[in-house]
Amino acid sequence: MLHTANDAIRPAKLPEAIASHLESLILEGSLRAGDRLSAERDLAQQLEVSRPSLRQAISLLVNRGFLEIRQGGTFVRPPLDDTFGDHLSQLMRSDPDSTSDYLEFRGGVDGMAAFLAASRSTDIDRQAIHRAFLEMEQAHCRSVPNEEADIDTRFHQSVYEAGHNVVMLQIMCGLSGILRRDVHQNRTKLYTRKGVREILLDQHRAIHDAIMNQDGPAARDAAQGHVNFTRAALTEIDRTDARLEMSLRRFAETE
Amino acid sequence: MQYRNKTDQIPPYPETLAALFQAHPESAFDYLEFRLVIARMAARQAAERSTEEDRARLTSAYESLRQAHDRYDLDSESQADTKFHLAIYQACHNAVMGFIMSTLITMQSRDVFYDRRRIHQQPGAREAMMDQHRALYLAILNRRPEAAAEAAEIHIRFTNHSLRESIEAERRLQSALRRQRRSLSQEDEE
Repeated sequence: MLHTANDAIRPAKLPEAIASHLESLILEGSLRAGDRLSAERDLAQQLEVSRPSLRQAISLLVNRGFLEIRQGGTFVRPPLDDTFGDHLSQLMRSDPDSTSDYLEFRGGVDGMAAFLAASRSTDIDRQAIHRAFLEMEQAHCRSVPNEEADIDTRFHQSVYEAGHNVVMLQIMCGLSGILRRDVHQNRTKLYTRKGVREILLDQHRAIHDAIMNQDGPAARDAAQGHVNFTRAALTEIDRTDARLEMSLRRFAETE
Repeated sequence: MQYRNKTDQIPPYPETLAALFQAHPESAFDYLEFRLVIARMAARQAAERSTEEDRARLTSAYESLRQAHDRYDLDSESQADTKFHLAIYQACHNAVMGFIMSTLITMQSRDVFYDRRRIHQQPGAREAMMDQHRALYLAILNRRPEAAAEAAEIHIRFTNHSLRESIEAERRLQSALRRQRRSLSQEDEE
């Protein structure tokens, strides 16, 4: 009688097992915020489960805040929820140093992400990074700053994924989702500067090459260097913008 | 450079993300891996940037931790441990890092990643961790960034090691119990 409790085998209830599987997909980034789940019949077939069990699993996940049912289907919600996101956006807007703070934080994390990606990435991960980089080169040639800034986000996301650390992935992708608007504005600011675009592309190439060569230290240095450069360049742009505004005001006063 | 004291916003607790991590215990080691890099960075920054106010807060958190430790008051020790680490992140003067890390530390204090008692129950772990906290505290207070980063790394590596040990110890205990039961039932038959 002593310790029988530990021996009892209790299979998880099927809906709970399905829910847990879908949660794992969200955790590892196979299902991302905004993704729509396949139609119930297809998904049930794919998972080889009955439709009623799947429906119960989905309702568990809706209750837990992972999914939401809207017109047009069932969608994945961001695990870092709206209240959290709103607070952070508000903080970013009220604090003039916050972009610089964000990039300082990212400098450390991105260095680690690139290092881990270089040592842990599978062929599939490296292909994804490579594809993102090729798209970046193409956008660069077409010189559409907006598009280039978008791909920038995707490139870094593929590096986080290749780092195979779910906490880092969830936090950093959550952050970039929340800060999309602010960060995007800044990126576009950078990409419209003469000369900066070329430097950024070279830096991304260095990160890409180091990960392809599975050279951890080089990948870390390249990623840190890239974020530090971005931070310094944005500070410089803000400073010149402020100077320009001041001159314009003075000019307007003398007129 | 002078660092202003920023308003310390307490971020709303992200229930969904916490539930996701909690339901998947394998995230514990990812958390510690992530934390290692951030903790090094934070310790270095706190050593460089902390204001008098930050240092007073850190000292008071450290003193509560030490007293709870000496009293062998495990609950208070756990709470003071959380406050001590929060005080370091506040002393970094990076609003984004403060926001993110206070969220993760709060998750940890609610045992989202692992049950902290498991670590404290490891033989010698409480003593070792108190020494690590002291080294970290003194390095920040004496404004030694490299020593602070080093102390932070040692602390997180130790936590990681203790967690692995406690999981292994639990596994060993379970198999020993099953073997014991087998021999007990054989004695009954004799």
